[in-house]
Amino acid sequence: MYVALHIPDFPVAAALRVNSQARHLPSAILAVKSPGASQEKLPILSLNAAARFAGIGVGWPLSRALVRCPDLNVLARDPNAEAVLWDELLGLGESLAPDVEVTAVDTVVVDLSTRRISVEEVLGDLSLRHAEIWHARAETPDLAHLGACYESTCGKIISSADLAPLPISVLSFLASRGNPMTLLDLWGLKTLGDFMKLPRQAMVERLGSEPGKWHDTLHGKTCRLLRLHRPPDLLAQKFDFEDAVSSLDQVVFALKRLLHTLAGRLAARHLAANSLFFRLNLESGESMERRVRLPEPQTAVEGMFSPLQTLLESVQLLSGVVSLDLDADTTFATAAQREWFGKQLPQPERWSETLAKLEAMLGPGRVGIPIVGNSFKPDSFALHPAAGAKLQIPAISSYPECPVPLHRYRPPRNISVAFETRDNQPWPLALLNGPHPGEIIDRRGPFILSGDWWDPADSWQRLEWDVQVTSSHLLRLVFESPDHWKLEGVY
Amino acid sequence: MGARYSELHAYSAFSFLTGASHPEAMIKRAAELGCESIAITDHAGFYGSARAHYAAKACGIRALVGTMLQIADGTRFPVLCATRNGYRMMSRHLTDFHLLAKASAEFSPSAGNLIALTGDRDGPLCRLLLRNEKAAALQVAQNLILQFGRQNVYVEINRHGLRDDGCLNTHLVDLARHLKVPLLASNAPLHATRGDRRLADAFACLRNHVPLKEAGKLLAANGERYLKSPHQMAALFSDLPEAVANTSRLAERVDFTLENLDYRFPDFPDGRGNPLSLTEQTTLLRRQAYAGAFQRYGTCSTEVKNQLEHELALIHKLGFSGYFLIVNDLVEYARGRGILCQGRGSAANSVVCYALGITAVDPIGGRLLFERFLSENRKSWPDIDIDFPSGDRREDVIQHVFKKYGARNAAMTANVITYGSKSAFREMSKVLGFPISVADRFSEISSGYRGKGSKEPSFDEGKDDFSERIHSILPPSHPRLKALTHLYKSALGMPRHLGQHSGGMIICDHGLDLSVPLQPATMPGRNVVQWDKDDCEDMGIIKIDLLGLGMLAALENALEIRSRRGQPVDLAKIPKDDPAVFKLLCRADTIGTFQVESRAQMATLPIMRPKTFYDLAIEVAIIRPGPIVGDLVHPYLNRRNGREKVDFIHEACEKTLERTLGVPLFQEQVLRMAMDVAGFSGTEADELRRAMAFKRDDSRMEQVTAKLRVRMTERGVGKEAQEKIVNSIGSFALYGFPESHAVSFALIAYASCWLKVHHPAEFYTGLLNNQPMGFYSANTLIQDAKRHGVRVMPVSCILSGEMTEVEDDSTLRMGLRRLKGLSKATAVKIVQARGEKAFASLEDFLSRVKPTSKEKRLLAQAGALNGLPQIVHRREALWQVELPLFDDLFAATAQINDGILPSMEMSERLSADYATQGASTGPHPMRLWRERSGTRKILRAKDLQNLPHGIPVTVAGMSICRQRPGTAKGHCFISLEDETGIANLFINKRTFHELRLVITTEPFILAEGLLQRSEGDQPTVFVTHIQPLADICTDHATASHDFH
Repeated sequence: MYVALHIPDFPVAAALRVNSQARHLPSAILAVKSPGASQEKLPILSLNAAARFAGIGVGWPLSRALVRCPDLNVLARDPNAEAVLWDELLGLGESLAPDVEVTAVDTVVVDLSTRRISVEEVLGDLSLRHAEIWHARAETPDLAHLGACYESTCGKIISSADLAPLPISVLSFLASRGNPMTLLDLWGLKTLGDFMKLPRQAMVERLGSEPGKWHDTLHGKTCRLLRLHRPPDLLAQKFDFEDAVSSLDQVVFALKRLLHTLAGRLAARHLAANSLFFRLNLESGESMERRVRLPEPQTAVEGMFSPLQTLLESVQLLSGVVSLDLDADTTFATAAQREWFGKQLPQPERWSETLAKLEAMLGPGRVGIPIVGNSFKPDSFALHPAAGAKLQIPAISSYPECPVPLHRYRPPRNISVAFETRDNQPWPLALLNGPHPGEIIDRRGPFILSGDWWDPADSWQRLEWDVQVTSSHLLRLVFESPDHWKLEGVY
Repeated sequence: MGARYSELHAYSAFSFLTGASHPEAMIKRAAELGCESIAITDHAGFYGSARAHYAAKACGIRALVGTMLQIADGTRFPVLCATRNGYRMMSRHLTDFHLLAKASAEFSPSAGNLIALTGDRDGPLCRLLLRNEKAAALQVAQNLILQFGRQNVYVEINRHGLRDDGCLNTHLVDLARHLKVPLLASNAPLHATRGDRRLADAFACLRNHVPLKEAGKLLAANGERYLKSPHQMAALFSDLPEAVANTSRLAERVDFTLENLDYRFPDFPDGRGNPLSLTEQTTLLRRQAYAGAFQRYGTCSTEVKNQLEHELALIHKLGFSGYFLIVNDLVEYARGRGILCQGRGSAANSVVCYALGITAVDPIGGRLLFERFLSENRKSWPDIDIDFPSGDRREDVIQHVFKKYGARNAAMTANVITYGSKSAFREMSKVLGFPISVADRFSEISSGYRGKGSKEPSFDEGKDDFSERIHSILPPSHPRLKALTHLYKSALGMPRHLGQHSGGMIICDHGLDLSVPLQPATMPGRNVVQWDKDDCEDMGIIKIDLLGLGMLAALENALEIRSRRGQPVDLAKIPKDDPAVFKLLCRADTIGTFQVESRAQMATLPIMRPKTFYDLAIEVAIIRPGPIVGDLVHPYLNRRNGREKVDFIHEACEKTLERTLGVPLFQEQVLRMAMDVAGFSGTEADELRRAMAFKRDDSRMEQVTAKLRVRMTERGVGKEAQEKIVNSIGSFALYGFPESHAVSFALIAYASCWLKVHHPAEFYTGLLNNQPMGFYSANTLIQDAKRHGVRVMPVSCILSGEMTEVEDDSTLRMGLRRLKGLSKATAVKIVQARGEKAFASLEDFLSRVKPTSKEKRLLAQAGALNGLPQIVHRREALWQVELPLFDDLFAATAQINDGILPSMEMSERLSADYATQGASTGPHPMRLWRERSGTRKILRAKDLQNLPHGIPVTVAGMSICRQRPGTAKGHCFISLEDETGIANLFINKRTFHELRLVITTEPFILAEGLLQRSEGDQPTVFVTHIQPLADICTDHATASHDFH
């Protein structure tokens, strides 16, 4: 005997649990919600009994639903509340017997064959806080599942005859691929009973073998094995120090223990760590957390420990550490074969390790190979990842803009310049201070550059001149709006 | 003396996604800056040249003609047309480039006709010099000299404020001196003003499919590529004054502008293909016109003869004889192929056109004004539009023109597709990196049930509207909102790509490609010219409109069926005063007819009560946005029914407005009023006509209106009369109808009404075979046919033809092609297989026709297989067709059919019909609902006819038409269909906003309100409340005709 537990209108039920004021109002959740998208056309994913009573159905566009029920309360889907509700449902299932199958997102089926005590009374007392729960028992898991999903059959011990009045759309629970509903609808089949009455052989000739299996299922002729639910092992770990520690060694010791456990769990699942999440909870109540991206998927303790150690060595904490959290993002371990004839680093893992250490110290996105940025903005650059894909540095396709070498001031020197205005633009006359003050005796320019005009925060505009001052120095002078003069270098 | 400078390498927005200003804006700016000339050199064409030429004439500068020529390595350089021959060569070469993908290397212009500049940084020379490949650059320059001649190549130098300009220009100057060719300064502007750089950047992003943030060096380094003044250019090139001076020298040397375009409409050829002289053409035209007149009138009365002579003399004088002969030749071709056609527009004012059979309206009988069509004062060519049945028949005529004149002598006019509100927002928000959902939201708000009433919003209105709409999508503090607003407003109205005009054809007999470049249209077998219809008209290129009209296709089909049944009807001979037709019109029983079937027309017919054919012409003209906006409908009806005194606005208008009771309803009247009241000459009146027809912007109309006011003031016309006249002209500028056009349309409208009265089966069959067309869905037409005693039989694979057919005078049979999803090939195969041998069984049908599995299901669901042996009902067919077809085993298994599935109920059959055909021959869904609900409180459409004004009523039905025209001030009209007819609902603006969702989304509605009987005694329900109709299957709804 199997029992199925089902929470009707699961998404809306979960959302309403945390929204006590709306619990008795007609409420619905929409299928998708992207910011800025028109709500009116979105179909309804789930609704509560009050909304259904107002004449609305699942799949209706919101605009149509609002015609029938102008007061419809549109709720946002609440993944956290759903997770809590699902955990509670699973807990109820596990309380009945250990062999539980998660049949659907809102349904679990429990094998009662290992249970010695009658389940009758327990089922009668089943309840969830602020959510309805339906159940049904049957000789096969599928019959129990179908029975639990409908109010008219819930609470019963289901036989094939009990299912006959249910609507034909129930079959979509059983369909593994394709949608047979269109044809069944054309055939005028309204209920499961209509379907069950079809001659099996003739139907299989027309629709193939799968509907034949549904036929058998509905007649209780097949009983499948449950796909038993096994909770995933958690990778997140915590280490509490009895007293706040201030020495690095103690933290390293605790960290290594956690990493050993993590390595074991990863090995057991044939996975590798992609990145590590690490948090030190301090006595002061504050915490220090970092996510460390590993250069390549790691399973070994040393490979994971090395960047964390660099990180720990570089931090200075103002109070003692009371606990340590460690978690990992996983990926499949790579099995790369090095190239035979290509050049490669003698010890690539050490190069990766160094990069990981650097990134641990500087922060993510701050380590890589700098390349000239694809912008006219001076000094723009981009960082190409140092490890991984090969870097393709674009060939210089044009003659250099300025063939004379420039000795750059880093950073450029802010100076004062005497200037006049010509054609609404400044026109420098003399450098008043800085390393090379003097009158400008010759100039080329202005060279005009501007960009990022669409973003007020980033928009920039500058005028450049190559000037010669009385001291015979050739300089690059820059004006940035509104009124910054800079000496950028000397030729 | 100020600096002299001509910009000879400028782009306009017709260099699609490169230039960022209209050609007109470039010209206007160039004139403001004091440039002497400007050459718009768009990519691979003269797209913007015609507009530039027109604008330059107005601004008093010269617009030189040029283009960017593309060479094999993908680079482009500007080429200017120095002479007419040069223009012709270039135009032909561009046509070769577009039609044959012919490269420029094969292009060898004769010396002196074309002038090449070396181009900007993307040109062949600079590109190499920027890579420091001097030898290759020298080679390229030498090739240009070889190709164009040393005197005709200029080394172009630009200064855009970039650091490498100096180095590049040094190389260019060295090269020019080495080759002894002159330098030429240019700023190669992409836009008119510095601020337009932003749009140019956005276009660069669209061209490269990247957002602005990722575009990097694809964008301009600065905003310097704008049109600069002679003073700025002189300052910029102060070290090279000859480069600036050369621009003026070159501009003076260029002799050619589009003023000298030598397009000539072809002469009509003789039997051997040699063109006839004008006199010979006139003689031939006279002969044909008189022969036609005898045929049309029986005897040629003095009045007819005088008019013919008058027209023929004028046609000869203006040199248009060939034009009439050529149009007549087209009409003859169509008639010879049995294609129904009819000229419309002002051509219907001409007795020559009537005699030749181009038009079907007798202008003498109808007292139509020939001068509206042709007058000595008019510079422009006559405008003859010909309607053909839409679809393949019209394509047949178009292809005939292409064959007859050759691919290089015939083309469609272009239609410039511009950025509208939605596309501008979508593209600009995309380049700014906004998510697509923002654009979707904007589109939804834009559609906002705005009726296409009186007028498309102007650019300014569009921009104001934008601010309102955008604030509901993005917060005012959004950092990119300002950029988005700017880009949106700049992009609005910019050319996007070139489409083709719906029917405008241009022909020539001496090489159309020498006058304007041609390029392939999207539709195979068609070419388009690079100018739209207004540009063509401005350039004196004559177009003939070969338009498609769905109703003509329907009439042709109906007449063909009639002929096939042995009782042919000649539409030309049907009596024009048939009382039965006018009775039908007076009771507004006009569903399916031409032009008088809309809800507004049906509401007016009982008030207007047309008694003559001319009344019908007025009816066609009066319910149009023009007269409605101009508030001319009510005055006319009031005066006609004696409730208002006739007012002729001004005494000078009395004669002109007499026929329409003082209300200017036709374009001819408006032009005549301008002549009579403001003293406009014929040429000025023609200018007014062209301004009214010019849809691109209001500038031309504004100029003419100002002139009109000045003239009226000079002639002492009172302010009030002036206002009335200007308003009526303003309304006509939008949707003006010439009287002859109204009469031509009235002719088709009358023919459709006549067929509906006398041959309803053929009439409805013609309509059903040519869907979608008109105002109503196929389902409403079927319901209307049934109300008129026509039995409509369902689709059957045993009895139906490919198309809907007439079985007898009161029965028609739906055709197989009505089934949505049944291929034409399968429909043909069914008819063929059945013709060879009747289907013995379902298996026989399936094995011989071999429909796809979807088609099998479709045929079964629609009940088309029902007549086959052993198939009793649709479900049985649906059960049987699912059985795989094994030829050897079939016989054994096919017999197993013992009533496994129940037959469909009536409502299920209706659902199946709507799903497969969008219409049903069965009962109206409202009848089923009424039988099921058993309620008597809810009235039927028919019941409203007998109820008094002011009584509260409740009606229910299927919403077949929801309208909210711009002319209705926000009120909404719904046509509610039930089993007895159509009830009209009126929902005021407030109620509409309150119940918007019900009104716009529910297919079946229940409405409460007060019955109103207005003039004409037509019942309308003034709705106070609307709700969805409960307990009805929404699958039974047909598509509603909404908000058009």
